[in-house]
Amino acid sequence: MSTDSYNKQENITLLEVLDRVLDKGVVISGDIVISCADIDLIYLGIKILLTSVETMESYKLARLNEPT
Amino acid sequence: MEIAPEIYIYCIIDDNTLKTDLKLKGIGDSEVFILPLNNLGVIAGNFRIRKENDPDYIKNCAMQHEHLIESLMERYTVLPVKFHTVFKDKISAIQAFQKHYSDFEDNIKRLRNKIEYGLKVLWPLKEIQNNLDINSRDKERVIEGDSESKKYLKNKYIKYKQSEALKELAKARSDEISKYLDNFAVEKKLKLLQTDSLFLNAVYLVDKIDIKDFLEAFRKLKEDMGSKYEFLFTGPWPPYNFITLKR
Repeated sequence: MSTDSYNKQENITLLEVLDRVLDKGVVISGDIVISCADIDLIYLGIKILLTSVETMESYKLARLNEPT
Repeated sequence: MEIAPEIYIYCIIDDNTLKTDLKLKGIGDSEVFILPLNNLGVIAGNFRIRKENDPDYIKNCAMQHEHLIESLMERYTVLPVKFHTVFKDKISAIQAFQKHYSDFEDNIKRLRNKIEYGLKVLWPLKEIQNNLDINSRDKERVIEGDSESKKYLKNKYIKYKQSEALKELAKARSDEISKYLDNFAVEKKLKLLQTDSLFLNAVYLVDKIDIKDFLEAFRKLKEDMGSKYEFLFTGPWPPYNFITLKR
């Protein structure tokens, strides 16, 4: 496998992981913090930094599909 | 006074104790432990992200979060928790999770021995669009002599027609693909046309006893349609996309 295709595969794996861990699975939603302040959920998610992963992923995939 | 360490949550498992032979490491090699929640367990650690402005560091942490959940998936039914869910202390964490206990029990029951596969399918967009263009070369096409406003409206209309035709085609093609895989999946979720190229983004919930058949069905699908589309098939994943909380 060439370095390029290895990197591509690694990026895809990362994007697939991010797509799942950032906003899927069990999400103890933010409204708990507002409605029950005593719960003390300090911080949930880091999506602010890694925004629009799905969009990013779609662009990457679209690029893979483009003729070289 | 000593301050209690913050609690980072990884996932929920269908046991309230951890098997002693498991050597688990959390993010950054941090300690991992279990918080018993009646018959279930919340897998937690003392880790908290420190470099919030470093995307590479964050991505690395996300990969390690996932890695730990995947290790547990081999031995338990797991409900993965969203990355970077941090509580002030153990009591706060237990209180929050206790509120959803019946939901977690229901999900564990429904997802027992099941895993997730992901399938993204891309089509050759230019070719697809060219074919759509042929279909739309009818009386609506712009001709010389049309006024500027008429040209504008016709162009708008053509674009609308093409987008509708693309949606219809995506639906038909995804139905073709579903015929191969549906028999071996317990549940599925489909998103069509997230971009013009990515016409199908699907996730399938598969019972572990059907994995072999599901993979064989995908192999057949790829054999039949691999020359038409590009497939991105991933898994097995913990069932991220199939967890449903009522509140």
